[in-house]
Amino acid sequence: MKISHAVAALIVTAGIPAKAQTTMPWKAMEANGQCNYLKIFPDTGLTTVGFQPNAALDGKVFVVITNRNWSVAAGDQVIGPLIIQTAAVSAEGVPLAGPHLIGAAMPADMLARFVEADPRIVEFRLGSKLLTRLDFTGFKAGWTAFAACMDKRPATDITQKPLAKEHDMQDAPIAAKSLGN
Amino acid sequence: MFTFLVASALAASAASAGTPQTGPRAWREHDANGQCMYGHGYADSGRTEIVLIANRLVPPGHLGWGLKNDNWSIKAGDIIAEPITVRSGPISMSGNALAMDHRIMVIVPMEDVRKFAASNPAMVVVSRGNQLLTRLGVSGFSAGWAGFAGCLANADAERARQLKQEQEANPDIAVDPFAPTPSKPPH
Repeated sequence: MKISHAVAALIVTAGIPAKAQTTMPWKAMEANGQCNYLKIFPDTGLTTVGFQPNAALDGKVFVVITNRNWSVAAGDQVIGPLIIQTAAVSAEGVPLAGPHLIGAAMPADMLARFVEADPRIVEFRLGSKLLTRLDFTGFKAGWTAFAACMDKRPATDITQKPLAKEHDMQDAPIAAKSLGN
Repeated sequence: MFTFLVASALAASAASAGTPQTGPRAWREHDANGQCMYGHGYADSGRTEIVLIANRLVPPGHLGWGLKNDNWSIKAGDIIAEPITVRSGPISMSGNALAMDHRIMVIVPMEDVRKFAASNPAMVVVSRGNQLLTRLGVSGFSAGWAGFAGCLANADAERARQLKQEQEANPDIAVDPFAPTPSKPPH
């Protein structure tokens, strides 16, 4: 998967905050036939987090985080898993490396769980290594637009309902940590 | 694959920032919203614009060449598989490009652009692989370069200041967690 192209397309389409201190809200957008939910953070790395339920991944959610300060490159061997966690919920997947980015396919229900948790502080880890800590305020508030995008997609593109809440939480093996949310 | 994801992305803001505040025939540098731009507009049917952009999306040590032509059907999200080359005589600046509506943005090493500026160029040829995209007169580019270079220096200083702030706020997070771990000195 050319994740770097996908991410670049997302960012270009989404636009960026004009000023370093400007915070853009969570944004729902459709690109290349996929619905994406992303935010660009106003730090020096221009950290960008994107979520994309992907039919090609059996409905799993492809999570990608980019930071231009990171030296990670395509093909790098990264020791995972990539973990995204708040005080209440977490999800993880096998990491893929790209230029200045890490991505992973995560369980299909992870987005629904994060929305329900309405997270504020979210940490990304690669194994035990803390990659970054981000303020997800507004994640839930922007969700309606993303849900609308998913609703209007042709059913033939969706192999399974990617946002259906799964009762089996076996895919979330990381214990909730105290992050002070 | 562009070297910097976003990096490339960068290009980014070109969608909104790529329009230099300038009329035809004038090279103008413009500092707006924390980004440095240096551009020129042409009075052709495509209302071509060429602009150099430095902003937070462009990787350090690089600049973005933004090119806009209203006649181009390219749109945001299109994949440009071949590298874009901006050439002037023996100086060639090449990189992967991102697509926006009627625009492309190619990220090139800043050093190549400095050499370009020093050569007092009169024309550039822009191509995608072997396909010629446009040929543009760039007389006057070198004359206004100093102002743009000053903007770049200010932007670098601002980035360093913000980076220091971030490190102080999150001392448990490495600026680059993927950097090779320095080997321990021998005891």
